[in-house]
Amino acid sequence: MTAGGHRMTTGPSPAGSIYDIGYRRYEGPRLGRRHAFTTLFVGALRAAYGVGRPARAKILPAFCLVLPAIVAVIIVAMNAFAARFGVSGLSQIPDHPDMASAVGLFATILVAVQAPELLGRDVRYRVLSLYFSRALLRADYALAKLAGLSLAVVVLLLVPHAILTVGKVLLTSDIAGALGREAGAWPAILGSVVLTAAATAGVALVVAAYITRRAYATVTVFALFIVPGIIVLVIMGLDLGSASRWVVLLDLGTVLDAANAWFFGVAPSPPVWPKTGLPAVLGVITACVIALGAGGILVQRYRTIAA
Amino acid sequence: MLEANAATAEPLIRVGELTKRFPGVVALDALTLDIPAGIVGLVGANGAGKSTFLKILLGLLAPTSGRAEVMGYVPWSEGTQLRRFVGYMPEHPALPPDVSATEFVAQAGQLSGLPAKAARERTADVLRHVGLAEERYRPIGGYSTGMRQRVQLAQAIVHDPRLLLLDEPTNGLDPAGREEMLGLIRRTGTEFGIAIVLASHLLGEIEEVCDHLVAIDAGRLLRAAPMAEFTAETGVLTVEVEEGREALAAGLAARGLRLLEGSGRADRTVRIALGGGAPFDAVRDLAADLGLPLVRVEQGRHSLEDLFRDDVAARTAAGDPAQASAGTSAGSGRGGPS
Repeated sequence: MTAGGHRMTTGPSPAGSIYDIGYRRYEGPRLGRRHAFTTLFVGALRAAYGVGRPARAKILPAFCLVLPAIVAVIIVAMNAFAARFGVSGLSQIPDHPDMASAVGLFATILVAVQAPELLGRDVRYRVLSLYFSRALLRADYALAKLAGLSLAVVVLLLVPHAILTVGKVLLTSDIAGALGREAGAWPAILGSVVLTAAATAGVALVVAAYITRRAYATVTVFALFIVPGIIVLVIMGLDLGSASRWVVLLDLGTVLDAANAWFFGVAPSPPVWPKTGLPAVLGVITACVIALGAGGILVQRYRTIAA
Repeated sequence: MLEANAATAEPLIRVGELTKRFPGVVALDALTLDIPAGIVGLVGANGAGKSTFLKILLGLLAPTSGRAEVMGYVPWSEGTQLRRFVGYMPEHPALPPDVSATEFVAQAGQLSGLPAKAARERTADVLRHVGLAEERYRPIGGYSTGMRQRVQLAQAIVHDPRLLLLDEPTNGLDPAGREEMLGLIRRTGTEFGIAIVLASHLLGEIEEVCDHLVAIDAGRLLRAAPMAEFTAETGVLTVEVEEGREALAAGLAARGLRLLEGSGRADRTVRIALGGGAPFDAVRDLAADLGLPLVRVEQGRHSLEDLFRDDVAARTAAGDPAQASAGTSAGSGRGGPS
């Protein structure tokens, strides 16, 4: 009360006096590139989910995060139903290996929408010169964005796996045994999720690095994820001989499906990859090349971009 | 205040034979100079190479050839270490619209090497310094031009730099906003003790704020000197005669006086640049010897603008037409690679 009263009596201060506070020097530590990189990385991760942005920036990321979780809950419910009523053919209930194809679409949506947000904004509003004038390299900026968006996708993809694991463990009477089985599945889960995230985020960021207009970039990312799949399907359908099977490597979706199959030790899903007769490990290699290539292109792009 | 800053002995920035070529344009042409601590004005027409120069000092651009050292660091190879101690305000608006000033400036502080907590504290400090109150929590997209410029200044000083590079900091501001921004810059340089290089095409601004002046034109050094030296040199003596102007001009030039080109009634007046003392006796004697009808002898101060026009004119006279034409085109064109 007294403080409020005091403020009332002083009244509004003249405009000049609000600046009149002694300047304090900064004597503390001055950290370097690693700190700057971490800051940008965390910033990119936050931006990917709209944290610290207006509410409308959070809607779509939340949607992409929650729907896969719902998918996982449904799968758990199917498991519960099967356990309760003893339905045979338990193997037909989706499990970890099926998760990628069940929720992969949401990863695509997240990167298609958020990659242009992460990169395009700084180009459009010319913020890059303020970033590049700080204690970091241009490459740090590009790689921090890639790492941030990749981790955002990792989170999105891991949540349903985590829900499924918890559900499966809780549903069984043999908790210790279930825990052991689930723990055994997690290296494969982590491998497939990290590779999927790095490749999808990388491709989307490369598009966003060259197409500044947000809408065009988003559409182009979707096109890159969808159109090659159709082309591959058509070419494979034409039966042009064994050389044509290599075109399958142009479709990121099919490549990642083969990579996931390799991680989980199952067969790649039909129809495309099995028809080629290529080993599933080729999917892993191709996805790695795509992810690393995207990182390289990004760094190169930001080395020369005007700031 | 000027003396205190100008007295710092060691130059903050050393530049030697610095050249930057863009396709079709030479932005910097073998620029050699030392810049002392204090508030240094970097003046030149649009396209003279000011922005390019600042970007090279920051390590944002690598030069085509030449040397530069900023506080002991080579900008293009030791940029990340150097930039922990340098603040930069670009000439164009460079703020994202969807975050608040607080969030953006705090991130800027961290990117310059401050730990998160220190960055937050100093953000509150510097935003108060530049006069941003409650609005600092709202997205920048809703700010006025003046507020944005304040945020741009705040992000440049959040990490307490030793050196501040300001590129046309009053761009787009109305006269009142311009005065406030210049006041803030002067305070930053004097009270906070941060060395400043202020690039501007407006000599008035430089004259108002700076204690040292560097003039470049077409990527070349025109002059570099303490402001006091420039103002001492800006004296001009106008002599008006009824007739015989040519004879008077020739006579004055023969006595080693520097005549100025330019404005006024060119058919009847001669303008003499004043270096030290005023050459009243010479004018009187010459007029008497030639029997010229003397109308007036008037001592005045010409602006810094005149000074630089004279410099360019002198260079033209000295038989460097290519340079002179480059200077004019740089002055008229806005869209150069600055």
